[in-house]
Amino acid sequence: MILENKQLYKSYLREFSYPNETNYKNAVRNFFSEEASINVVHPINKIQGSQGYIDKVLKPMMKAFEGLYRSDYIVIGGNYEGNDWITSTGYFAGKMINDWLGMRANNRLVYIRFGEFHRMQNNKCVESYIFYDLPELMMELGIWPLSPSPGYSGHIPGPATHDGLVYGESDPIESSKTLTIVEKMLSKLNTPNKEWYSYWHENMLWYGPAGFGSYIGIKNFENFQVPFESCFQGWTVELSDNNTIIKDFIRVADGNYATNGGWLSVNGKHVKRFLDQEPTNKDVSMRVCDWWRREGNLLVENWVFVDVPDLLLQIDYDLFAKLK
Amino acid sequence: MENNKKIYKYFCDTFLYDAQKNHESAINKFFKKDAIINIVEPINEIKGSEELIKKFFLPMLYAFPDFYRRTDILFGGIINEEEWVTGSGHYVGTFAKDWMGIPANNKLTYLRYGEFHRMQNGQAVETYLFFDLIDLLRQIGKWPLLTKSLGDENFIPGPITSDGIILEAQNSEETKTSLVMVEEMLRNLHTKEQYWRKYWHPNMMWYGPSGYGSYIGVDGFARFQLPYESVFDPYRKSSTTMTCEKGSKLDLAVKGHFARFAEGNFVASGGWPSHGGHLCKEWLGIEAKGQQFTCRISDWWRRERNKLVENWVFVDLVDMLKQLDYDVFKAVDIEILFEDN
Repeated sequence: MILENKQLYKSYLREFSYPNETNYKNAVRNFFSEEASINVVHPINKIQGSQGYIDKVLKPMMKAFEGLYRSDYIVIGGNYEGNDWITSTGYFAGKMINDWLGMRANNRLVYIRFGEFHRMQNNKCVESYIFYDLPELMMELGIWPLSPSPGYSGHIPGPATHDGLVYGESDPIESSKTLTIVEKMLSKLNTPNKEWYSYWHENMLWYGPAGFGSYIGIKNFENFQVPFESCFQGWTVELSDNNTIIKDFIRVADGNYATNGGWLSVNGKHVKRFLDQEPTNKDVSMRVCDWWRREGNLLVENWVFVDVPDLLLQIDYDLFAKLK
Repeated sequence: MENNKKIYKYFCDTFLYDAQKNHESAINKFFKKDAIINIVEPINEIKGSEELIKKFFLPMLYAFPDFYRRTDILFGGIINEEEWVTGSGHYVGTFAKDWMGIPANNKLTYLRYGEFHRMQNGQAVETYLFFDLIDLLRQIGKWPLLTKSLGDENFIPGPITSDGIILEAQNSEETKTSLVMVEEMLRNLHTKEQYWRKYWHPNMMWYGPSGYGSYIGVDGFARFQLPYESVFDPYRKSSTTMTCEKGSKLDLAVKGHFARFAEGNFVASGGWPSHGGHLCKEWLGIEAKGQQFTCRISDWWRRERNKLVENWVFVDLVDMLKQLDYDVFKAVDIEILFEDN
């Protein structure tokens, strides 16, 4: 099933290498079910079915970006709690010739980072979660209204090994090894003795969303992550038995790669200044996702999305309203 | 050839995470003791592996203590019975301490590189190293040019297809097709009719050096290329065309390409310098006074079926601008220092 889904996804993606009107629309209709429930980051949010995805997401994108194509650098799949998933991350590129989501066109080549998760049933996608790093695009356009990120914010490369397109079958032993390391690492986050350290290569790369930034080396990552977590009191990642936490929709591994996604999976109370916003004491939940690459017994690269505009909205800052 | 690539890949991978630990032995092994190593301005020429370590890598590793090397393109080829390997990608690290006088920003920083190595008995004997130092200045918030970039300034990604590291032997017909296509395209640059256009996919990507920027689409590229072609008079362009006199100072200064070869869908070319001319129109904000200048340049292309689709380019703009009496580093109050670390 996983291999079959990968092949379906591969043919879908092929139509986006140099898309034209006919081929991308047909590809969407073939891949997504008419009733698929498609969730996209703020300000797009909820979309219904293949036609909705064409009309509300892709058509406006094709209009805004001339020559728009996509390049995926990680494609993996797996089964999570009985459901088959396919996921990928990479970049769209195109020349921005029309405004998009309130962002003014700059008439230049721009990149849009994406991450996608698709639940497959009977050869069709029935449920999707789609992340775009819109703050990264805002920074590229020079319209990001908040302070610059403490780390590097810009284009994020794919795996250093260029082996992220896993269309074949992975050794289940390798996959299970990857998943175990990721789950152990996640369960040790927020522990007093930094037990999560031991699962990472010392010189790991953490590719965070724009606004958070990218970091090299576990210490630099920690110097970002610990203060970030402390902005949200009671920081919890889904994993505990606490019923108030909303579950992840996916956590799978495929060879040396693993992924995790939650559409509201990290929770906390906003108690410290975060992205220029004074504490609101509001409870927030984040839309987040990760891909990891393992080498040997250590995690070496980690690509992360957080729906930052959605998070900001929860603490009363409407990023898109500020663009007007 | 496959052996050279293996040796080169091994060299690249020792810098993957643990450059601090492994660089010295890797460099001593890969470079011949008396290799001639050409590096972009302000470093220029280095003799041998030992000097390369002392003058180049040690200061770099001191400045970027957690250096990590990412290879996007790696392949090899033979031209005029010379064996070459080439690679391109980025170094990434926390820019923690000043490097050659360039002030550290203490953030993760990408340093784009492109390399050519002529191999003999499993070692590099002649090397050309390109680094995009203007891109580094851009990342630390010190844009050094008089003009804004003509294109998009961003991290330059590797091949869209993630297949730029070529370790296996390739079909020789495919290799030949790629090389012929690039050579024909190059011959048709600087033609009034713009015959070069037909070799490119209309949605091609041109990844230029910082200062020139990147473009999507052949029309986007033309908006850079056409004005660029018009700034030289008289000129000499690589080995193909010239309007300067044979034997003139300019003719002698331009050496054409030191290597040009293909492997599979990829082609590489480099010149030190590859072309030059006399500045006859304002360029990058520099007033034209007929100044003579030459360009160190390197290119990698990717072909898809019968079109070129991606092109990664380095131009040593720091060196070029120096010849036009513009000091890129001084422009942002940087005094270049070479210190032993």
